[in-house]
Amino acid sequence: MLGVQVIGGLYAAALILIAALGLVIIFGNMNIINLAHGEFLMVGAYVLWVSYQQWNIPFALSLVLSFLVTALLGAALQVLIMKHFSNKIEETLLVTYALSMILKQIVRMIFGTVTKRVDSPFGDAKLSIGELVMPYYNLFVIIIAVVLVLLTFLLFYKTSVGKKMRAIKQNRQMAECLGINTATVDIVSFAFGTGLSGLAGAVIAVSSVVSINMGTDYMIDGICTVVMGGLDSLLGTSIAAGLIGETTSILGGYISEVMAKVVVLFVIVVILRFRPQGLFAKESR
Amino acid sequence: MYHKTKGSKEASLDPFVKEGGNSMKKFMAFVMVVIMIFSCMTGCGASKKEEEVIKIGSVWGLTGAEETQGQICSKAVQYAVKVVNDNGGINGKKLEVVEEDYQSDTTVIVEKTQKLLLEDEVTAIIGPAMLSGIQAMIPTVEENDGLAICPIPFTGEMDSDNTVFTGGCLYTQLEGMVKYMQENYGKKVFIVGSDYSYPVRISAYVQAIVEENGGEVVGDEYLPIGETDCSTVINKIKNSGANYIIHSCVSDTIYAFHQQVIDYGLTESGVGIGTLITTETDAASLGKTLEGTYSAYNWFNCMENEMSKEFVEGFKKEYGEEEAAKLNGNAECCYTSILLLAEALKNTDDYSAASLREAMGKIEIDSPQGKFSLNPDQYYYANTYSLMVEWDDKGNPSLIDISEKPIDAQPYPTLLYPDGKTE
Repeated sequence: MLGVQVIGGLYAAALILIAALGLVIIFGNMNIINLAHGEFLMVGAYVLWVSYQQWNIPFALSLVLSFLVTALLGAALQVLIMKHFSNKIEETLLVTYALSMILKQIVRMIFGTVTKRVDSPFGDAKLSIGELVMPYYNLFVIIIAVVLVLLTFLLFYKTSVGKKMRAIKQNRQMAECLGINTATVDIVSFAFGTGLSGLAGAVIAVSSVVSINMGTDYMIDGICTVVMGGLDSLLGTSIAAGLIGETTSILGGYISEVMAKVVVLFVIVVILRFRPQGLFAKESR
Repeated sequence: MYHKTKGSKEASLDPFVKEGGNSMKKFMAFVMVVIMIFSCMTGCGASKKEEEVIKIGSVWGLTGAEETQGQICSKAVQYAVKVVNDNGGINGKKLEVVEEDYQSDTTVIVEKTQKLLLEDEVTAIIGPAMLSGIQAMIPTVEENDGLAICPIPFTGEMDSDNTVFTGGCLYTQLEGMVKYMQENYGKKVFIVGSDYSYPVRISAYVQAIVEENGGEVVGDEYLPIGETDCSTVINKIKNSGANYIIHSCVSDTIYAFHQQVIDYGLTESGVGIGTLITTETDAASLGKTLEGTYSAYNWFNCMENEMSKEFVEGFKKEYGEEEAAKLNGNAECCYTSILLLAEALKNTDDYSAASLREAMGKIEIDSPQGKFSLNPDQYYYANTYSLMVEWDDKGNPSLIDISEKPIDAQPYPTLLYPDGKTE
């Protein structure tokens, strides 16, 4: 039972990590707590449903489309709206909350209220070893989560735009003085963050459902993970996702799932009492 | 600034300007009188119009967790009102729906209920589709002496002089389902539900019925509302050795649960699944994941009687085939409730809550589910049929069991309340 729960916890952790990535990148680089994160996730899921389920575009390509569409949407919103609220954290809370409402209503008008399902690209195939039964798609989600974290690290540490993002994060005015076009880098940051949210929605859609409210729960899980890991720490977010996923899964095997969530949230509160900056953040809030 | 002050002082001393001030006062008085006359005329017009229509409040979660059910129920109410009006209305008066979206938020429903009762002065309120919404609404309805028509299958154990429960009692449906599952799958049941009052009551009923029939409850678990990772609870079901599951998961959890019992190989091992939650509205999305599972309710769109077919066809003409495919027991119940209310309105001149409730309790009407009546001796709960269906791989139900006649309402079943309801 414990072994099954631990493996199950890896999958839960992967889902939480994927859902939290976009959030931490946008906050870490731009100081924006994106309350529309759940809705970008939902938009990505709908894009996958249209492209893969309705138009029969191959699954891998549909995932890329989900990323691109939500990234473009994010870029457009950054140019039209978000750039006017640069470094105004309270205002961005309100603006992104409004955006979340608007996105939900637009999707509701286009797709209606009926929940959609997306078939797994692996069908009903599953891995069975003794007591352990795991759909291949769950393994795919775990791999995708690892790949996304690695790609994000590569982007930040091995590319020119990544170095510019880090420079702006350290000192925006100095970066501007050194000739970095902060407006363009902000567009890339916001687009990359929203694109990751969309991709998360697409990945989650297969094992879950596609619905207008699907982003809300992942938004909450994402915020818990990012706050626990440290608001601007990619490594912290990855480790926090692992801890939350595993703890919820293992405890859930022995007590009720609702109580398991309560215990995890309580532990997060205790951690924040002693490390208000999160487990791995460099800067104190 | 200086000139203005000076000017105004001068003006107050100038006799001509003072004369002009009086003219202004007279003019303002004239305008006020004209406005008052227009207001009175408008008021008279409104009250005359009000006499021509009878307003019904219709409150649903058209957004949020209830929206799938809320949308179809809202349309069923609109359609029923159209049918009543097309057939001559209520003694020459038309029914009019005043609709509110409570956003699936139990704090918002209080405000919406107050608005419907105090501002719109509706005769009765129908809705919502979630027990938590109804529980939140009833105190406000009681305070303002309104009438709430609760159109969902009910767990019972709730009564008020201001309510009628047209969805019948879940106990009626559960008893038939548990017996069927026990005969066909075995004696061990695992109960799963979303974490709120409705599934908790279902669980209490199932436990009592299972024990009465010599079965065994091997597990009872709740998932957070909207949870879409059901892997942990499915592992628990596997380890429990359950022969069948009774689930009452709601919102997105329904879809995730049905998908994941297949993904994790639970259905392959021959575990049966029965529910009172899954209906035609969800079936469109669930598709093949529903195959071989069972649902119980008071109506399904596969019922063959004439009025049922007429209801489905008429709705299809009004809203199209796609919407008609979502018609479920809740929607049918809304439709039937409005027909019952319309008959009651025809038989009473006084539209007070008490008179209407009493009138509704005296009538038996034909409905898509068959003969339909309320039981005044059982707190105005409906006597409903008990139906059970099996779903195919396209999400279509086929009838496998139906009671011969409506079963008497049991909001306080003797199995749980051997001494009857105690105050």
